[in-house]
Amino acid sequence: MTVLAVDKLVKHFPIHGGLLQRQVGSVKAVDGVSFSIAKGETLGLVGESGCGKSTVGKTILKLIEPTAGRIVLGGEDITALKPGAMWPHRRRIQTIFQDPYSSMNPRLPAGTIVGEPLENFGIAQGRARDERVAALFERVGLRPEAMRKYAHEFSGGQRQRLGIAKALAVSPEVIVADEPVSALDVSVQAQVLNLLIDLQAEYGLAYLFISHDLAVMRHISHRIAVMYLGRIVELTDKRTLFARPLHPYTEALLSAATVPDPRRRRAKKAIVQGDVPSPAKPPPGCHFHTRCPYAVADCKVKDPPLREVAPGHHVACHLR
Amino acid sequence: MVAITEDLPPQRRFSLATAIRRNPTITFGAVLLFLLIAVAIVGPSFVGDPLKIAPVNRLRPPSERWWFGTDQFGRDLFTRTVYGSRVSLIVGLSVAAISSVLGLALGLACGYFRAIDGFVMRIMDGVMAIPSILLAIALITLTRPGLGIVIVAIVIPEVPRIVRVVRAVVLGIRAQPYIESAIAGGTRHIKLLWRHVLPNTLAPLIVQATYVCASAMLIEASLSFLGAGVPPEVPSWGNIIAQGRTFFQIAPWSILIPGGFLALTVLAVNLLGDGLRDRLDPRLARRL
Amino acid sequence: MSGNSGGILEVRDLHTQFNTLDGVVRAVDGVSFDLARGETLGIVGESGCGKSVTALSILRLIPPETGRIASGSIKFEGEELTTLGEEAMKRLRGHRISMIFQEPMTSLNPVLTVGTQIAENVTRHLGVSKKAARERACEMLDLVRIADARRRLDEYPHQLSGGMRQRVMIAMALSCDPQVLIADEPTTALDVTIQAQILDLMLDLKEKTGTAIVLITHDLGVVAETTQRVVVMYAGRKVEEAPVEALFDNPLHPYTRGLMAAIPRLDVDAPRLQEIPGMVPLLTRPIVGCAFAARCPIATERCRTAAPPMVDVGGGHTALCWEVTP
Repeated sequence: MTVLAVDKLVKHFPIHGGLLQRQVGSVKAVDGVSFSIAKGETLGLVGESGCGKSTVGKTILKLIEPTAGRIVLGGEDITALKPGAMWPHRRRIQTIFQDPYSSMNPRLPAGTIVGEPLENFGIAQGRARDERVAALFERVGLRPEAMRKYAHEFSGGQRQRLGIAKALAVSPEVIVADEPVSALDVSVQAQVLNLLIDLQAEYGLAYLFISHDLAVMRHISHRIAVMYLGRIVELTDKRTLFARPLHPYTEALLSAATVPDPRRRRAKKAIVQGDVPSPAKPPPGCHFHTRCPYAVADCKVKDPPLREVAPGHHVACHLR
Repeated sequence: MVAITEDLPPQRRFSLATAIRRNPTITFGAVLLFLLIAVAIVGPSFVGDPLKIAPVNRLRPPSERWWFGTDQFGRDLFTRTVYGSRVSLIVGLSVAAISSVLGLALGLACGYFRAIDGFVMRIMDGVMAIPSILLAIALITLTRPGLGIVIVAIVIPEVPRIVRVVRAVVLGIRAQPYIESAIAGGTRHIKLLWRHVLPNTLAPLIVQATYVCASAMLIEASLSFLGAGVPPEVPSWGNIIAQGRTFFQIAPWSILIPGGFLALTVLAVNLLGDGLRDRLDPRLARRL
Repeated sequence: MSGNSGGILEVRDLHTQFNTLDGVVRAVDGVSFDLARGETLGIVGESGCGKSVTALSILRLIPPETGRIASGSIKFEGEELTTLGEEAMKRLRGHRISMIFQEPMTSLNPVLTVGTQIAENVTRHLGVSKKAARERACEMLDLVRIADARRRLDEYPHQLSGGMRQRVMIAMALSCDPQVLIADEPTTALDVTIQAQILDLMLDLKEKTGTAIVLITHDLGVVAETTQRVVVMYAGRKVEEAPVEALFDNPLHPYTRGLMAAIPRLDVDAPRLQEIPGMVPLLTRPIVGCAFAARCPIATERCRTAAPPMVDVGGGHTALCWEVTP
């Protein structure tokens, strides 16, 4: 059962310049992204900085307005909803932020932060709210007494647990998790990943899990979408992606990642050279052709569409 | 179930002695200001009538009988200086309070609702360009001179200074992830402003208000000195200085003493403001 | 390897402390290790374990207002650094011992071109002419594989991408042929494809120049990929040291084992990650016994009351643990 579907989502940020601050161009942060997530499923969105993965997350949450495309949440089109009309839908989609330090108001006690969504939607007030917050604290592995403490009194891992408790408070169907473990130390990262996996099994949550870390992706995702300069270049289930990556960029990412095993050092040198081009001026044709070792003449002029080359395996490449 | 055994770091106890040792400027400014406020409140009940004329005792220098000397009408300058502290503090504090409230409201609105920002800020730029002394002179020629009109005349050009500070802070807070986090959690405008934005603007607002308070006291004295402030019969420090001007050669105390008190009060408020700024600015507060 | 005459850097029982409002933080609490000529040594651990402070101590870059090297010895080519004068230390830094940092933008001067900055380092330490220094800068940019090096000399740091800036930092660090390069999380701020390029570059340059590298990182993947020997740190102490293969084949300390089981793997499917319960102890209080005892699955009463011995199992593999038998 699909709980979230995104169709040809586009988000352009205008660039203003000159004396009159006229629009002189736009950053094509998200450039026609489509995917869907089923109940109880984790879709990983992986890519390097500037590929637009976080913008996809924020647009789906309607924290920024999409330029074009469609976002369907639980069967309802929320693309064009104004903030007031969007409000009741926020119960169904929640988020966990990357930075557990700046995503908590430093002046509020933890219990108030976690309980806020409960008040907002009139689910529980006063004592009833406190009881539910205490239960949420226990569920994510924090002592209920910690409700009275402030954000700076928690460690990074504990703050991320608070973020998870807040997202869980209104029993959402979808959680957008934007790099939820990349600010954490390895030993704490494992605690948080395990917690997310347990909660998914318990509540049938759907996750859109945004990360740059392929190893974390392999651990938590069911399907993975690889993004490059605003577009999805490959989308398939986890097993296929790691065993038979088809897009040269996916291949490059996998070969560039380090493996904690000195006997399996990367045999060949990094296969892609150079930097990611600016999303304000993406190269024509296939965005990856400037760094692609296999690029042919066609790649420089023609956009490769995202095609289904095997059941459930989508690739945007002329050569596959 | 996951482990619940993470230990939290211990909290430091608050201790007044440590607080004073760490913030000597705040302590000094606050103590001084407190003494001056105490004088302004209870002082007048212990001294005589500030308007009582005694031509026999004109222009007496400070002595055991007249601590601060007397003016050209034989009025006791100590009594008048004590009364004058009332005017200065009333003007300073009420200008700070009124312009803080107005500035906070406008600043919050501009920083939060971007649609009105450009329009309101251009008006603020315009208001800021009016010199407060000229505005006060204009207002007083149109109406009857008095404390109220002086306060209004100083508040108008001070409001934009507060608006700018609050707006800048609100823009900074809006970009914080915890605001997005609250919106995603279904928090709506009023609550967002009240609970998440407002409390975080208060620290810089208080600091700015102290500077406004100090500058209001100086402007009030200047206005009185020019004869455009509180009516001449009211003993304000500005008025005392203005009246002593002609006799400065033979009775310098009539200017130096109230001038010294004005300087001391402004210094106390500014020290308090500087100390609070250092204390409340998180970048500086985090020093080891 | 350790202790032999090839050691270019010898750190012995280093204690570095910081004064904070919460008390004295024992950031480095008795760390010893050696670095051989031309070797790549990894120092690995989580945030707050003291790995960066160890590096700063070697270069004597601990801010004197808050911190100090309380005791211990650091010998570079037989010369004691802890007592060396500041002038002599300045001649050493950037010349015979260099350092690169995680965020190159903060260690490059934004108002000077990269060419000027590299050339300045060269003139300061080698005393060559301006022209020769600029030639050297150009040569260095070429060496770190920056295309069109001559043109790049006149660019400012903000005109370069993150990966490029890190290359410039490496060029500057290597411009005076240092014997030791200390790299503190050099690829942490970079994307994975750029990280691979920079790691390749560092290893290539090491082959060419013979510079010994101390690589400080939290990433076990980077350690496995680039180093020959590894020091694992926890709570300011060295808990394990081993040649890289031995460490990954047979981790001895419970903390090292815990770390290895806690990382998600790119190459294998793990059903569930192992957690290390709890968190790092506060460094403001003296730690009695083993620093890891509170989180250790095999800790005994002895671990909590008596400091564990450094057990040598042979082959240069040591671990600070009561439960390891030689």
